[in-house]
Amino acid sequence: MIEVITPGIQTTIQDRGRTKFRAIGVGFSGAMDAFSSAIANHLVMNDEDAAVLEITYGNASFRFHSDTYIALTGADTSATLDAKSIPCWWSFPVKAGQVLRLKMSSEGLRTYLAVAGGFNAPEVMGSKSTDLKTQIGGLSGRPLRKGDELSIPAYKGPQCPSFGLSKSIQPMHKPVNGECVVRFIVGAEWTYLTDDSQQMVVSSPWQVSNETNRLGARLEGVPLSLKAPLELMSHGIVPGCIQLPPSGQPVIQLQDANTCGGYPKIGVVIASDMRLLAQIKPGNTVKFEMCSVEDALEIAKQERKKLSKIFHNIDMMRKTFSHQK
Amino acid sequence: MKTSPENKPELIISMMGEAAILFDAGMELDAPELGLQTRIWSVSKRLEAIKGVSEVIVGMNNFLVSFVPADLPHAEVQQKVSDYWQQDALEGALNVKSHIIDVVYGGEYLEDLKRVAEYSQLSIDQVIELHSTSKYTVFTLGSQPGLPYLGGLPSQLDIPRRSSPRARVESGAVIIAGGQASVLSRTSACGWHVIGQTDYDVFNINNDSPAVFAPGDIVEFRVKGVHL
Repeated sequence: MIEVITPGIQTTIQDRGRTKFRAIGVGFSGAMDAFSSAIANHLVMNDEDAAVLEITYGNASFRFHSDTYIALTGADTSATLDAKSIPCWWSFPVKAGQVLRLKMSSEGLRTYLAVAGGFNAPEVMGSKSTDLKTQIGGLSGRPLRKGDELSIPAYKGPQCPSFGLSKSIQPMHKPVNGECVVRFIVGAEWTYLTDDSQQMVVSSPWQVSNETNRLGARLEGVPLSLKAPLELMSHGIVPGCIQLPPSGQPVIQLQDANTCGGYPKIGVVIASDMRLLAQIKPGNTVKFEMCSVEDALEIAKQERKKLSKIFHNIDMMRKTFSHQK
Repeated sequence: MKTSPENKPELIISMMGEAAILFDAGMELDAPELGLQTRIWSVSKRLEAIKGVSEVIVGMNNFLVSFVPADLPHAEVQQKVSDYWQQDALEGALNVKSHIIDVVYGGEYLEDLKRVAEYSQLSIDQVIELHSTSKYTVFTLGSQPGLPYLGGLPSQLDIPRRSSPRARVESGAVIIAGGQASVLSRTSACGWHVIGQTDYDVFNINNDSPAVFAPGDIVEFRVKGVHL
């Protein structure tokens, strides 16, 4: 069992999310930065989709009441296990009684904590992910609170070495100098934007507002305008959808996106770049780059290769370090 | 433009990222039409049976097809949709149920009921009567768990959304706007007009099928009380 001493501003249990229920109004949920959560899981020999903790902004601490094997990935929070400092993108054995502390994340927003075997939570509609809107999944469909007791599988596993990814093979996952560039495919109402506004989308930096969460990122910049007002009927949307409300300030739907929307759509951020949006903070800037469907599919293949290569590296290192013991 | 199940208006097609395509049949319409929606339900059923189609999300006279590009290239999705769009609607594609929802009209958001009456130049009693004597059809679910988008609101009650949404409206709110009716499933921000309240639970995770409504279902509202 793991006891929550300090939950941080929003910590939830997430796996790869819920599929197949959008038609009844229940969205995906799931880890915002699925690339980082997959690596955390692989570091502790879990299936890449196992349930992890998604910790926002760091500032969280946990006491372990049983021995296990854990990994931290995503935003670096200068974590410590008791007094010992432990690196991000690293896995290490933990003994009952030890306390893991995460400081505030300096760069990046979301940190993933995986435990061997994955966090125990009931499967609700095919997933353990916390859906904050529907109030299902994870721990009673809510963020963690002080004093919560998180169930984890008993660790039977082999004695595991402490090892992790060196800087050179850690994935690029955080904004560089507070700026992140994401690629998008133009959407249905792109041509309804004025020529100036189309230009603005791809040429200006968009500041991430304070009203940004798992549902969506609100962006601030020179307001965009349509050639004429447009009334749309409700239609299905997806995470990554860049909508344009009447204010002219775009909103990017994220993992907890509504299943339906009615605002005009500028475009949709490609699946491979969603993990970058998971790590932006209010005050950071987003730049948009146009992308073709064909390029997006090719980029997705490359991402998968990149992840497989990291998995392979982890497997090699585990072998090496296990033999050295 | 009026449509019937026999009518096949041209679909407007747009990519929604690399793994979904939006097909819109109602761009030219002022209000969603049942005939067109019936055709969409049929196409959606046929699409869901194809390997590589992960989900079809039916909207109001439109539908979004999510697919796995590695199993089903987007050109093939478009071809399938175009084939199915020409075919006849499936008989008995839906298992239609009826629901009666008890409503206490007015109450906390009485101002909305007054506003609707004023806008439609009716008395509050007439608004309640119109709303509670009409038969509605569930066009689709979405936005919130189990939330129904109901067609069939009398045209006299067609009122635009509030200019600025309320930050918080409790679940069970009986709402209308944009020619549609609904019931809030979760306490949330809401830009529609709240004309009453019900304790009818539209989404219960403990049920075999958590969403109480399904597309095609018939819904009626019944007056349980009026709080003015």
